[in-house]
Amino acid sequence: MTVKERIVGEVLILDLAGDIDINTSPDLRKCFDKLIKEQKKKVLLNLSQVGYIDSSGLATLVEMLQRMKRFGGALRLSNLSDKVRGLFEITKLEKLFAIFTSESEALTGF
Amino acid sequence: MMELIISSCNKQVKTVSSKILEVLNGKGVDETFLFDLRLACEEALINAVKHGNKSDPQKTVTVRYEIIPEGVTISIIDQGEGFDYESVPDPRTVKNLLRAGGRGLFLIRKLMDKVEFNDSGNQITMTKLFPKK
Repeated sequence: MTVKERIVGEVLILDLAGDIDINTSPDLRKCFDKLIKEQKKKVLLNLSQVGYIDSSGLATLVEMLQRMKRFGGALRLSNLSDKVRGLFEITKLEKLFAIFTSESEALTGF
Repeated sequence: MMELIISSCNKQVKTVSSKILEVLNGKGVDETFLFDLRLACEEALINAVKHGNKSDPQKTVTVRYEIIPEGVTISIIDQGEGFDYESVPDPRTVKNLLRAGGRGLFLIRKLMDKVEFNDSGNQITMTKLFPKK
């Protein structure tokens, strides 16, 4: 899995690519640790290149959301594939996360 | 029936799921079927390694898989003490939604057509049926 950072206005966008699973989640958590330390207030995860996510990947995202909320930060997700989106629906995590179809939609009003 | 024995290591999880998916090449199954099968298989393997064998390198996980006319059956057996598979909480409740963990077995049950355990809970057998044409 790779993570590339971009900044659009006040929003830090992370372009994630590859699988988010038991073996790659620790790397993603390290990346999130850095953002929490820097107290990034607005973070958008672009998941367009993520084709697979397992329960440890979902757990890592839930953890990140919780940690960001603690200092008043906001996390949004965009461009989920149908299968990945389906997992958010099955697990009801769609209720917890702000999920957008496109990046422009996610940036609107962020 | 094919059998694989792996050590209690997360790195082996993808190797096993890849081998199983490889056997399905040319069987005409779609991406959704492969995604669901891979996820259920990897979740069950992670449970076996992490919760069953407590990541003990001395313990192994046995995987048996078979392509049957109706679909694919996978059994995963760890060397742990098992668990009470009927008392696993629903991760979708308000109380559990914010919890980081606890979604693995739930996903397996949702994505596979049939899921069974042995009495002690250290063996899971799951079947995914081929979509009807």
